[in-house]
Amino acid sequence: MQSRPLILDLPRLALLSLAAFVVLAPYIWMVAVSVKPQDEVFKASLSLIPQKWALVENYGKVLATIPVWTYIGNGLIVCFGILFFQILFAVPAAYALAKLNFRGRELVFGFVMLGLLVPYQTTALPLYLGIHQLGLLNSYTALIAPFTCSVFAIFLFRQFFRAIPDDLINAARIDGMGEFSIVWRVVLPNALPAATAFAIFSVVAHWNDLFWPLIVIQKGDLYTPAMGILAFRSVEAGEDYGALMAAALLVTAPLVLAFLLAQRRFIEGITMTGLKG
Amino acid sequence: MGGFHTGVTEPLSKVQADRADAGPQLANPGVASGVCMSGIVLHDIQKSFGTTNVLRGVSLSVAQGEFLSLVGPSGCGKTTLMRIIAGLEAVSSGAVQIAGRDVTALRAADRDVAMVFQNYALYPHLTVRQNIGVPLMMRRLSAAERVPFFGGLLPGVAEKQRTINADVVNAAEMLGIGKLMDRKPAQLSGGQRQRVALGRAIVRHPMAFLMDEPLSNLDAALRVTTRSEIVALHRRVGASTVYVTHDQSEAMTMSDRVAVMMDGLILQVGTPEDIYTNPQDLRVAAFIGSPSINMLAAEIGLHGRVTVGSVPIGLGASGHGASQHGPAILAIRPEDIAPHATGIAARIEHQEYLGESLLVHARVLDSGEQVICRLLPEKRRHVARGETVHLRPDPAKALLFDGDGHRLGSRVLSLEDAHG
Repeated sequence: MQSRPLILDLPRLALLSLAAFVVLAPYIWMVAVSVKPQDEVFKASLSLIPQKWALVENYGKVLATIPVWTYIGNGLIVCFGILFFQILFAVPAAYALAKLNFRGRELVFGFVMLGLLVPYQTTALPLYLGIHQLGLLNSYTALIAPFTCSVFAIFLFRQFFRAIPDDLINAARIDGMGEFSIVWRVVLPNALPAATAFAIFSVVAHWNDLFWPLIVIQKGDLYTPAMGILAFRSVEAGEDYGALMAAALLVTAPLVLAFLLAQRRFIEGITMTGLKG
Repeated sequence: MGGFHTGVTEPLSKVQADRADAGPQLANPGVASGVCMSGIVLHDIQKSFGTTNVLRGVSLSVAQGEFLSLVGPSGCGKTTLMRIIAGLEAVSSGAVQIAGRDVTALRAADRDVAMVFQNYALYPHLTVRQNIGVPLMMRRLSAAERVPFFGGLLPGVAEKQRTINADVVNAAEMLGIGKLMDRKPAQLSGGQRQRVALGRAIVRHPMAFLMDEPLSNLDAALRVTTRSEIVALHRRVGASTVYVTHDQSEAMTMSDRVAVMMDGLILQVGTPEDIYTNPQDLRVAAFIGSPSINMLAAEIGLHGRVTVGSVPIGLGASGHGASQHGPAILAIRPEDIAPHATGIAARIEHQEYLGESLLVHARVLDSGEQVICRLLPEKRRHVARGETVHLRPDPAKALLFDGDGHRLGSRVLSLEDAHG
């Protein structure tokens, strides 16, 4: 394609930059506040760069008062635990729904669609009671188990797998693969963009989730990052916004890094162009 | 070509004596199962999808090392039949034997057949080397040994992987793709992908090869060269091969034998020559050959004498057909009918000069039927558009069919017979 002169792209660029700025502004403000001393935070001026840097005080206070690394560790265990089981269960299920012929397939898929319509808050109470009965409150299991079967994942993968040619799967059968080998060796590697996109959705949702951890976790050493900020806020009387923003920045940093690293695949997966060429 | 033939339709009557060498002895295909222990034997295969009968009782044997083509129009069931041999589709009834073993109930993975797919079906995420190696890896390594990374640490695995790699390299060299080993399929041309697909099939020396229109995605020039390469490869590897195509020229040029399928049945199995010169069914005669065979309404009269539009053509129905007075169909290849002093009156409508031959399109005056004659190109001067000529079919090559399309026996009549 011929490259257009920059001038023609300028209006578009300006509009997109404005939109990006609107979306990013709170985050940028958060970064700015996290390095400002207490008295500068409420100043009327809109300066991003602090007059007096309070980086060490704010971050030092966070690290000294709450075990940030424990919370981030918990977040990683919970998010990747959830993701592992979601992939483990959803990929074979989606493969069966997309590529195998069996009685009742459409019915089962109907249930999956139905499951998409149920918001998870409605199932929270029965799930809580069940976990309580099993004596599993205050455990990683309580944080992970309710999310291991994702109907959204089944739906997403099923749509993606349908684009994989049948003959590719037949070729694998003739080459000696069983159905599970086909799922892990042929189907999943060819659906990596979808898997990456789903992984980001899943990790972001559970990293930031506050609702469910608040229900099942009371013990501080099992706090997830979002709960950690909450705890920090109540421990440290909510006025120290500089330190609070520093805490927020610390717990969102892993997500931002992960997104920047996986950005390209993420976009590929959303636009579903991964299998072409 | 082994001396092993089966046919499907018993001829209604014995073919005339002067053609005795053309037709092989036709036997019931089901009987052959005991003879060829090491090929592929299909016994009365039926397959229906819902209420549609796709295969309606197909029996076929492919001898060890034989190259057999399944040819027929699209929708005739040839691909379904191949998928049944491969184990990708279950039969509704019937049995499949490969190398003397009943595999009807076995999965594709356990049948020891290899297949080349129309669109190659290479693994997009694997390199050429890995693609060709997959069938060996799945067969020679245990599940634990196949685990990525950790499997390689088990005792003996490194040695196995070395032999797998050596076999992969051998197969690739045989196909001339040794330099492409570390590319992904997306980086290959159509012809190269085809070779990788062939490599993946031959690398494990399967009992049988199945090829589903493997040339249809190649351009015309590449198709012709790849044809002969596949035949050469088949000779080297020596496994029974079933080749599905809708292209009769592929079937005719590549095969030891051709099976013509239509409407879920095999109409005839025979050598390409046999199928061409001695079709047992009018549909076979019409399907094979380009341009297709001419069909003229004929009449079987007294003493079995055959006339076309009341013109005697020196042909008599014999055997069973002799007593069948009434309408019949005379089928004659374009190269076996030519203008002559006497014969069927027709007007020349059009001619096509093809360099090595001349196709003359004519219309029979009485019936309006279209006839195509293939003449030597020198004859061009003697036939002009709009001219009326008399076409004489060569009675020794003419084929006679009854109204249902079944072949009738025929014999050449001497001149006295013809007019007496």
